[in-house]
Amino acid sequence: MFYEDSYLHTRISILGSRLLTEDALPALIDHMDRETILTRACLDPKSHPTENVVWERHTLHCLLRDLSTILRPLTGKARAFFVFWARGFELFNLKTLIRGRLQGLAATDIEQHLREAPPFAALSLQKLLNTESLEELFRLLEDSIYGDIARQARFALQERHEQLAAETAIDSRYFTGLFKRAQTLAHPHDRQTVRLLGTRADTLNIAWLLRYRFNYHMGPSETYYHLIPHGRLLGPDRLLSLVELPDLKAVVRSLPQELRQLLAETSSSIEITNALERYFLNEAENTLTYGTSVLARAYAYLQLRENELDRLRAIMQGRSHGLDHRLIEAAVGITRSTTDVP
Amino acid sequence: MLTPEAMSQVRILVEQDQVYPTVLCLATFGAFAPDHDDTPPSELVGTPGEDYRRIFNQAESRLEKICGYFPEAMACDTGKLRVIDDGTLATANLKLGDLWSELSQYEEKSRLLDEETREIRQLESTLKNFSNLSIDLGRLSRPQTFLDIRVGITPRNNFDKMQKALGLAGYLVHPYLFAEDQVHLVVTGPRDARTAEAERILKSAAFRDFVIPTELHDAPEVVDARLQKQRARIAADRIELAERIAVWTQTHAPFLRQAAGVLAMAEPFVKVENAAHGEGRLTMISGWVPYAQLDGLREILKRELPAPSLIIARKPTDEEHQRVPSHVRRHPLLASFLTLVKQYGTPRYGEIDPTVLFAVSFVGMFGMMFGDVGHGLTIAAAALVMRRRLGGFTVVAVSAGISSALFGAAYGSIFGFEEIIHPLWRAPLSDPLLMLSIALAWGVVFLLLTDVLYIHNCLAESDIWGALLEVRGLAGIGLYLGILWAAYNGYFLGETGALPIALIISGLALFAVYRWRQVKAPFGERLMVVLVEAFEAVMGNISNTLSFLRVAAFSLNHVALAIAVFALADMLEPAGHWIMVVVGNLFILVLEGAIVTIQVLRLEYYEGFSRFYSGDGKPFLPLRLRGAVYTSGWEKSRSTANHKPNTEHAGGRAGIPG
Repeated sequence: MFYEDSYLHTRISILGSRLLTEDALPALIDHMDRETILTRACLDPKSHPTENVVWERHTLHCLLRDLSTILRPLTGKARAFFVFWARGFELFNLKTLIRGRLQGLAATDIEQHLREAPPFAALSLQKLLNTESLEELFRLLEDSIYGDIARQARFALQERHEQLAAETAIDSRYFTGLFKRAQTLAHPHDRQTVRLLGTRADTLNIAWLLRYRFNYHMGPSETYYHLIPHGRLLGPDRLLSLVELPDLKAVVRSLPQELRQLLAETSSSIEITNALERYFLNEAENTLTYGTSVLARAYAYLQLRENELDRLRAIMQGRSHGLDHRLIEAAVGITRSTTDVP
Repeated sequence: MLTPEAMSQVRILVEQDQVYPTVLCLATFGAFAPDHDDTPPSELVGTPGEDYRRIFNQAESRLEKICGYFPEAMACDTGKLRVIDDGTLATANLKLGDLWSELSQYEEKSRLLDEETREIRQLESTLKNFSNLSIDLGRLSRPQTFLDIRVGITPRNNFDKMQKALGLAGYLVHPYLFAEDQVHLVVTGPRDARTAEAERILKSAAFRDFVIPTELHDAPEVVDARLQKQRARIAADRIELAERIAVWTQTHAPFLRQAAGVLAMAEPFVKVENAAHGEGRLTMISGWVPYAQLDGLREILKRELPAPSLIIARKPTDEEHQRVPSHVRRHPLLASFLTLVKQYGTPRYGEIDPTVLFAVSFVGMFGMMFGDVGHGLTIAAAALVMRRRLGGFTVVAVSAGISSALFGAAYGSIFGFEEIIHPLWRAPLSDPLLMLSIALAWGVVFLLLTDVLYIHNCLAESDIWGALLEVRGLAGIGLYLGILWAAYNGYFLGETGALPIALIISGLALFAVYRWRQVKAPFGERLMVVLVEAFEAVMGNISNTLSFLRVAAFSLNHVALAIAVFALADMLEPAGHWIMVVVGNLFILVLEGAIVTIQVLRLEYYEGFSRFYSGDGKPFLPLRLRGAVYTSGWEKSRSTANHKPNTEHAGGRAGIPG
């Protein structure tokens, strides 16, 4: 451990100790009062947020507050990595804007679905909202730091007229950008952060591969093109062989042992997605607990916190709709053995 | 005089159809700032004009985008003062939407021309590099029955993934040139069922086909001629586009000016936002008006509005001080000093505006630290010469220069020469200890003055305990005087004495008790906070006082620098001597002048303002009509409207629950 990282290590440890453990979640669903849940999600305990977008706006604040704590002692490439990570929220808005413009929605309607821009956002959300056509939106974007992504998305839309093509282009570019920035971090931060990002890429690749191949019926080569070739266990060659397999079971059978075992008991895409998410979160927890790189730990913490906020939202929404506890547990990815059931 | 102007909170009740005229009237009045934080009576829950604001914002955005291309169109043609109703605003917005759509198409056309130019450039580079390919180019230009052959470019970022993905579809990718961020390549594959999939990958990868001219392998000069022709066509298209845009501008400029006028008239109502609340036919507009201008407001509303209005005015309560805007007016000579004060913050309502103290102490300290007749007059003269560029700051620079010259006369220094004029007082280096003592004494006076101002600010907010027991309050002054007394006794008499120590202890004890009651935390944390703050109170007073030694230090430094310049000059021949004197003086003027300015600002902000000035006030931003001064009165239809008598109530609720 570098002595200059001590401050951040301590802060990450304190923040990490406040995260909900996996064991505490069932009790949370069963017993915790709504005020406590709302407080954990940085919301006013007296508020009644029911809409997703209200939750997202508040929880984004929460996440960005933690991010600003992390950014405070960072400079140079380390800072650039986390700032780029936060740009993911901006790209979410960008995709919402493109979707809204494609569907011909009014600016006020699109605005309701936008997340609040992070404080160091590169784009003026209001300016983007003031655009009145996709062409104008792209012209504005091409002059921003997202020029490259915008050109790619414009081309995908012009040539293929598919929203999916534009969105996958944006996602893929973003992840590649994040990966490249992680590679430039100093040792040992680069190795540990890239490893965690690689695990994220593996889980995303499997989920996307199954979706593109077997839900959207894309061909192998086109599916491959939309994947992220930066996986930890699934490198480009493994992906090339996986995309050619004819069905979901064959894909699972051909995965590396670690992932094959993980998905052996699953039978549907939702189960697979949940198992993969759990797998990534386990990896993030391990990094947060045992990692020696403060940057990898910080990245792991942010991922875990984001997931926790999503789960809290699912619990609150499940409760407000009067859903059965089992359904809420399934939504937040908890699988209990029969002996655990109260 | 030293605090922001006294304000009144005003609630104006009007009939719904009189809201726009009232707001326009308030904008011409120019001293009404909307109060967006006022809690309306429970009966008036609606916020009128939401659609109006939405349309205005869209129209404003469109006009701004259009005027981004033609700034001259921004000059608004306001015409007579008039109410812009929903219909007029919507019509202007629609027309602006149409115009922006047309202009946007021109912009898109221009972008396409840029892209075409870029493609031609890339094609030229490709053709130059075709020699790298060992294949028959003639074949590439002809459609093949069994083979799908393409030549083109793709962004470098996409190349690796695209190559592997196309490999799965049975295609071969041959890159023959890596240029900037693009890869030039030949893609070949079987023309079968997978061709469509390959096509989709190529499109996803932003692959652009080059159309290979059939003449390529026969006559390169024909290709050149063809590309030249394309370039000429693009240039002609550009000229045509520019002409069309010029005609477009000429045609629509009058409307754009009118639209700017419409928006200027509509803007005040938009700025009122949620300071207006209404239900049914009644609307209430809340705002802040300088107390001295209340009668003026009543007068103008009575004169201009045809229907009666009800004005409820009251003084802001102590709890409201944080949200009352501060209207600070200063003599034009002090305006630039006020700008420097505002760099730190706007005075809170009721708080002392430190502009006068700042102006006097800034000018005085600068003069003492940079005392030289020649340097001072040079600064003043330079500021007068550059007055257009300096704007309001000319006053700051001239007064600092004059102060410097006056202190220079007292020190007997002119451009560093100390033999030319006799000092009216004494040269700093002749008695450095005296200079340091004076600086210290000035520091004590300055700090005590700031403590007095702090007490005033506490009292203005009815914070009696803060005024008495805070570290800058009476207890703090006792502590500070005790420290000074003890230091004086210790230095001159050899022992501190019991009374000063008693003063220190009682000051600290009072402050500690006050803070102990204020801090809400567990015992240990409370104890820690109080101990640390008490320690900081003692150390802060000492360090702040010693900080003023720099006032004397810089006056000595100024002389020392001049001596250094003359020492160097004396080592040179006559010509070199005078060059050195001039360059050395310039060096002192620019470098030391800048350092002294920074140090004085530091003393003002850190040692001064931080002790008494919160600077977290809200600036007074009254509704105004943008662009022009309106003296022309209302349009005929408005001015001939029947005036009904106004009903006024100062204070009280006058029948409006809330």
